Amino acid sequence: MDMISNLLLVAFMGLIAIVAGIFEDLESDVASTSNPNSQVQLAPQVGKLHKFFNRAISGEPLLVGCMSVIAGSLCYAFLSNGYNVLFAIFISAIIATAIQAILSVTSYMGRITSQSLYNQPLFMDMLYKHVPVMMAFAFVSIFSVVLLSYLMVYLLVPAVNLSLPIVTAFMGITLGSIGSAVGDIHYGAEKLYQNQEFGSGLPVSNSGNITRMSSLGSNNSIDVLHFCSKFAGPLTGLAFGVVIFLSFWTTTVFTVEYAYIVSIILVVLITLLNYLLERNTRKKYGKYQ
Amino acid sequence: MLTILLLLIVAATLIGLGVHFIPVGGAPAALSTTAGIPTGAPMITIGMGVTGILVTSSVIGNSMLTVLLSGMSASMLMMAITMFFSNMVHVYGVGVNISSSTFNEDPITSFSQEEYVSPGTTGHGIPTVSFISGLIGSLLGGLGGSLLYVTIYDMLSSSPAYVSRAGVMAALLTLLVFFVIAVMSSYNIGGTIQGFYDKKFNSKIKAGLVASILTAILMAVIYTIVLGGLTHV
Amino acid sequence: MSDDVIPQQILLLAAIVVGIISIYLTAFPFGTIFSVIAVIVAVILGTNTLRHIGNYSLGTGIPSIVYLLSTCGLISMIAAMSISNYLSNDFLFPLLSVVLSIVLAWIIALICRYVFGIEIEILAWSFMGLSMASNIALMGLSTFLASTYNPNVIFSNVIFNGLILLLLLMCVMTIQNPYNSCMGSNEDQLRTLTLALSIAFLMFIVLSVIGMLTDVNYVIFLIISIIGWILTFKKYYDYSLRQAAEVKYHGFWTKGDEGGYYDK
Repeated sequence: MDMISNLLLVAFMGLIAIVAGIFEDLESDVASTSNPNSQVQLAPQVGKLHKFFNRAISGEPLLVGCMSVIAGSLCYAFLSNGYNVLFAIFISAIIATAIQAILSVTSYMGRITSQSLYNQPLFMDMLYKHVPVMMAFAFVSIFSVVLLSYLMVYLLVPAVNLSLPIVTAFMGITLGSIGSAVGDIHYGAEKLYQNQEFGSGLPVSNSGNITRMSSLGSNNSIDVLHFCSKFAGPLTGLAFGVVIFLSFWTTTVFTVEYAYIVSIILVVLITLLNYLLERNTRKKYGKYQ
Repeated sequence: MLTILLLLIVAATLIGLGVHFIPVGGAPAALSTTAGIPTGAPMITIGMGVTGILVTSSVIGNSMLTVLLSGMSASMLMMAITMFFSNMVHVYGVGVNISSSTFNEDPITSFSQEEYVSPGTTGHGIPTVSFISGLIGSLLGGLGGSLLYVTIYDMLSSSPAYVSRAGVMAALLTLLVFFVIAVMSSYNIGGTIQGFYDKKFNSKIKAGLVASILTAILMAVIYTIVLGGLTHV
Repeated sequence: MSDDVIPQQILLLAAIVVGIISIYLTAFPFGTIFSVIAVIVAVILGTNTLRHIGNYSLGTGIPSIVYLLSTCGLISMIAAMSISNYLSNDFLFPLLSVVLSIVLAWIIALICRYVFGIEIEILAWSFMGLSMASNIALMGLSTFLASTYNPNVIFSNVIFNGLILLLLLMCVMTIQNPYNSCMGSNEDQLRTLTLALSIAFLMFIVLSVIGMLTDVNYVIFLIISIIGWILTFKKYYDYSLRQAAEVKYHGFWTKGDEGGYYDK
C-alpha cells in the first residue's frame, strides 16, 4: 500500500516536472534568454536592426536556480510560520515572478542602450507586449518547481534528506541546464534563421543575419513562442519529466540495492536509442548536397 | 583526519577529470554551428552533479558502495537523457545529420563524418563517440560528487550535535566544490571540446589534471579545517 | 566600455574600510542597517571590478567568473566561522574571512596563470577584488538575517536551514547582472552602478519579507528597501532613455539599417 501511494506520488512529480519544463523553455524563448540571444545581440553590429526581445540576466541555469531559490526560501519561511501550504507556494511564486519581471525590464533596457552606437532604437512597446506574457509563463514554471520540491521534501516516503531552499535551488539549476541544452536549439538554429534553407545548418559567415520580418510586419518574440511551442517546449518538458520520474521510480519500485543496476540498464538503452536515431537519420537525410 | 583529507582530494579530482570528458559546444552548438551539448561546460556539469547529490541524499544510510553507485547512476541517467533529447531536437527540429568534423570517422559506429557536415560549420549534435565520452564524464563526476557527499556526511554525523543537520551541510559543501572545479576546468577547455576522441583533448588533459589536483588539494585542506572546527566541540 | 567616472581605487578603499567596520557594527542594537551599507559598498566594488575583467574573454561567460569567486567568498566565510568557533573568539571572524577570501582567490589566480597559461595582467587583482567583494556582501546578507556577526547565530539561523544558498545566488545575481545586462560598446559606469544599487535593494525586499515573518521590526527595512529601489530604478530609467540611440513607442527604426527590411 505504501509503495502504491509512493508510486502515484512519483508519477505526479513527473507530471509536474513536465509542466515546469515546458513553461520554462517557452519563457526562455519569449524573453530570449540563453545562448541563442548572442545572435540577437550580434544582429545590430552587422547592420541588422530588429524588434526582438533581448535579455541577458545571466545563463539559464543561474536565472532559473536563483528565481526558484527565492520562491523556495519564501515558501520555507511561510511554512515555518504556520501558513497554509498552497497559499505559501502561491504567494512566494508571485513574488519571485515579480522579481524576474523587473530584472527582465532592466536587462532589456540595458543591453539595447549599450548598443546605441549601431542605432538600435529602444522600443518601449516591446516591454508592454512581452513582459506580461513572460510573467505568465514564469509563474507557472516557478510554481511547479516549488510544488515539486515540496513533494520531495515533505511527502515522499524515503524523503530527501535536505531542506526546502536547497532542493528548490537544485531543481532550478537542473531544469535550467536541461532547458538550455535541449530547448534552445530549436529557437537558435531554426526560428532565428528561417531565411536559411531547412537542414543546412548555420555557417559562421551567416551569424547575425537573423530573420527580422514575418509575413505581416516585424518578427517579434511572440512569434518565436508560437513556433517553439510546437516542438522544442514539449520536448524540454518531457526531458525534465523523464529525469525526475526515472530517478525516483527506480528507488521506489526496486529496493535500493538493485536500483542503480536498473538505472545503468536504462542508460544503456538510451545509448542504443541514440545510435538508432543517428543511423536512421543518415539513411533518410543522406549526405549534404 | 588524514583519510578524510585524502578522500576529499580524490573526490574533487574525479569531478575535475569528469568535466573534461563532457562534450560541450557552448553558444555555437545552440545554432547547429558546432557539435556538442549546446550549453557551457560549468552549467551542464553542475546540473548533472546536482541530480547525483539529490539521489545520493535520498538513499544515504545504506552501505557506502550502494550510495556511491546510486549517485553515479543518477548523474549518468540525467546526462544520457539530456544528450538524447538534444539530438532529437537537432534531427527533427533543425533537420541536420548528427556529425562532427573534429574526427574523420567515428571509432565506435564507423560512420564517416566529413560528408555529412554542412560547409561552413564544424558539426551538429552529439555523435555516438561523444555520447559515450559524456557518459564517462558523468560517471566520474557523479562518483566524485557522491564520494564527497558521503565523506562529509559521515564526518559530521559522527558528532551528536550535527546528526539532523549533516545532510544540508554536506549537500551545500558538495555543491560549492562543483561550482569551483567546473568553472576552473572550463577555463582550461576554453570553448568547445568533443570528448576523448577529439585532438584537443590530448593537449588539454595534462594541464587539466594538474589543475584539478591542485584545486582539489586547496578545497580539501579548507574543508578539513571547516569540518574539524565544526566537530571539535 | 567608457572611462571610469569614479576610480576603482576609491571604491576598493571604501569597500574595505566601510564594509568591515559595518560588519562589526551589526552586533549593536539597530545595527542591522549597517548590513545594508556593507552589502551596497561590496556590490558596487564587485560590479566595478567585473567591468574591468569582463572585457577579456576567459573562454566562458561573464556569470561563471562571478560564481567561481562568490563560491570562494562563501567557502572562506564558512572556514573563518569555523575557526573562530574553534578559538571561541567571535571578534576574529569578519577580518579573518576577508583575509582568507583574498588568499583563496590569489591561489586560484596563480593556478590560472601558471597551469592554464592565461596571460592577463589584471587577473590576480580582479579575482581578489571580486572574491573580497562577494565575501563582504555575503557577510552583510547573513548578518542582515541574523542581526549579529556571532558565528554560532549565523550557523543556526542561516546555514543549517539552507538559506545560505539563497544568499549565495542573490550575491552572484547582484554582482554579475548589472554588467552582464549593460555590456556593450556604449556601456556607462554610472548607469551600471545605478543598476547594481537597484538590484541590491530588490534583493533586500525579498530578505525583508523573510525576516518580517519572524520579527515585525523588519517592516522598517522593507520600507527602506522599497524606497531605495524606486529611487534607483527611476534614475536608471532616466539614464537609459537619455543614452539610447532613439526611443520609440511604436513603429520601426528610422535610420541605420543596411539592406532594407526584406533580405535573404
